[in-house]
Amino acid sequence: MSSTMRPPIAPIGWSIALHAVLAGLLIFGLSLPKRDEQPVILPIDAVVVDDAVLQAAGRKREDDQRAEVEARKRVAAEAEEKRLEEERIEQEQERQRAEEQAKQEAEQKAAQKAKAEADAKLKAEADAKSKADAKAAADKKRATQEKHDRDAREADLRAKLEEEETRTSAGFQSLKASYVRAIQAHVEQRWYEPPGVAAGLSCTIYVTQIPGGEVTGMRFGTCNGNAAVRQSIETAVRNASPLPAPPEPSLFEREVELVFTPKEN
Amino acid sequence: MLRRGLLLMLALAWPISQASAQLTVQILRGMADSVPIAIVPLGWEGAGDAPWDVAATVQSDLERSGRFRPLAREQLIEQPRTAAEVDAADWRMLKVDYVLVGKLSPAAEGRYELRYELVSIANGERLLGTTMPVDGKALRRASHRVADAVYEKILGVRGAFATRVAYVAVEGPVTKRSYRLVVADSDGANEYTVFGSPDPIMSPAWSPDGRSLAYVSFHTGLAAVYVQTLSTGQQVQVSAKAGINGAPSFSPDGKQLALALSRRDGNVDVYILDLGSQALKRVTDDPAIDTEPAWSQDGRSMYFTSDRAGAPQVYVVGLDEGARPRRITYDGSYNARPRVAPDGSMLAVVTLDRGAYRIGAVDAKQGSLQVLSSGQLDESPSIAPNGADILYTSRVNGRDTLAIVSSDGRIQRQIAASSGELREPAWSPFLN
Repeated sequence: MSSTMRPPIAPIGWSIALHAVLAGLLIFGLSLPKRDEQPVILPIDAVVVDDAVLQAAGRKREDDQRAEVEARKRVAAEAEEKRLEEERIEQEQERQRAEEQAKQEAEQKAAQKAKAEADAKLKAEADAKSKADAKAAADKKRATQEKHDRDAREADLRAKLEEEETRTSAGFQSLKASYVRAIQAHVEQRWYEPPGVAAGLSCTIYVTQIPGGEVTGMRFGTCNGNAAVRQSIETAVRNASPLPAPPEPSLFEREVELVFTPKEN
Repeated sequence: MLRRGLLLMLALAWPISQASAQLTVQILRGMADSVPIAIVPLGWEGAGDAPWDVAATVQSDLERSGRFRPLAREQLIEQPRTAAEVDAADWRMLKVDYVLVGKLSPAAEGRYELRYELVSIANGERLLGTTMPVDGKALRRASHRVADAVYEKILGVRGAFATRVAYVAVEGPVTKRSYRLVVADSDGANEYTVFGSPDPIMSPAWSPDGRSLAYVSFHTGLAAVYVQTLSTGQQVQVSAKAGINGAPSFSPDGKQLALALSRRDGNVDVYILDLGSQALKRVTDDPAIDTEPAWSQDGRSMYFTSDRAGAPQVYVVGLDEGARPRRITYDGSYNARPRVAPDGSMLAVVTLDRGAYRIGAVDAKQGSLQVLSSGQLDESPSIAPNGADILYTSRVNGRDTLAIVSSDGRIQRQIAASSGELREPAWSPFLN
């Protein structure tokens, strides 16, 4: 994940650099047989040697043997000096090479370090990102879970609401209305309405039924009817047991409120 | 947000709405046509046969009312004598709502003790438990009283079985008619003639105490109003003015008699005759015919029939000075002969309904009319003292006979006349 997320410039850049280095090595490596005989350093050595040789030749003309010995000595010394100088140069070169190498190594190291750092940074970034991603994922998951829970709750609620809506829906209402009508007709057919009760009678009785319609209990609510009216209602309800079954089972209610409100004749 | 708020609100409201969820059913009318009841023969605790079959009379009364459906005696599976012996489950199997049980025991000197109990099968409750002493000669009447008590307990309306009916029996061919003023028990039993004449007898009316009858008789050759005391047979002529003397109606206190008189000017109007002082007070004064007066329950106003608007309609007038008549009926072209229900809420009238004269019930306040009977020529309504039924004359096969319709129009039945014609029935008040 993290590697794929790295910018594509980096490997291409490194590739180009590597190719350039290799091309350079090939070119210079082939033209220069030895790394020691570097052209930059040799001319400087030649100049220094020439001056010393010219001065030594002038003095040779004035003195013969001694001069020759001295010259030889000097040459030897100079040779020694030259050797030393060369040694020194070589050392210097060596040092420079070492330095160069060190430098290169350092650069390499630095580059490596930089790379490492970059990598580390990238990695850190990646880690951070992945961590962030993980966190985000976790958050998302949690959010998803929460959303799911909420959705579930809402769905549950909605289901109840839909049930409620269903209860109020036209189809359900018509079923309910037919159930109500069935109970109404069933009770009305069994109610002997005492003479002269019609005017203003309003009598509520709460009837408890069990599935199957069997009436298990009844209690009067508000009722302005006299004892005979109550008796007639109680008898009607008793005779109405079992009450008709609902056209749809969910319509069943344990308690049915019967409101006796006869219309005027 | 709104939706969520709504959801929350509904979520909060949900348990409440669920808890109160129940079915509400309106019961708008009783469709059962009668109450199933078992009248168990009373146990007889004396020697030999029982002096009277109380249960049979009670059963007959309840059945005749049209409001009860007594179980045939042969269908009784058991014959308990006390409420404690009534097994509700057994009677429920027979689809009986109530069971009447009792026993008759001999007491001293031709008297008896009548004990009866009424049990509701719906809840096993004992609704009645009465013990009463009865004279041996009043066992039939006592039976009617038992029926009255059962009727009242179950229907909430006082029974009117122990009441009487007066009517005019017309017999013989047209050329040789005989008229009899007859009084009988409400079940037609114990019929006897109060007054007989070859000349027409009309418009019998009970005094509020049920001891006297006022009526119109032509036996002197002219119409006159008489009041006759039933117990003594004493007949008193109370109005024999020139012209029409008709349609007597006792005031609620029984001290006055409303009459329709034409007097010398021939203009029929409603008057009030004070029976004590013989003072006559004019109630209506209109060139049209004002007749058939009927007192309101409080005695403070008078209903009557008048054709002052062109055709007979029912009016009411206050009895205070200066009160003006107010028309009550507007439905139909003919509404006449008002009779006021005991609670004053309803008037029974004769109404012309699609070419037939029928008995109608008029709402005393609103004037709205409900046609109750279904004959072709139904006349002379008289309301039972409990207001539950209306007795009237119905012409069937060219002969006047008596019929009863319930005040709600649900129950109609004929009372067959043994012979001749029965006219102008008048239901007595409650008799004590």
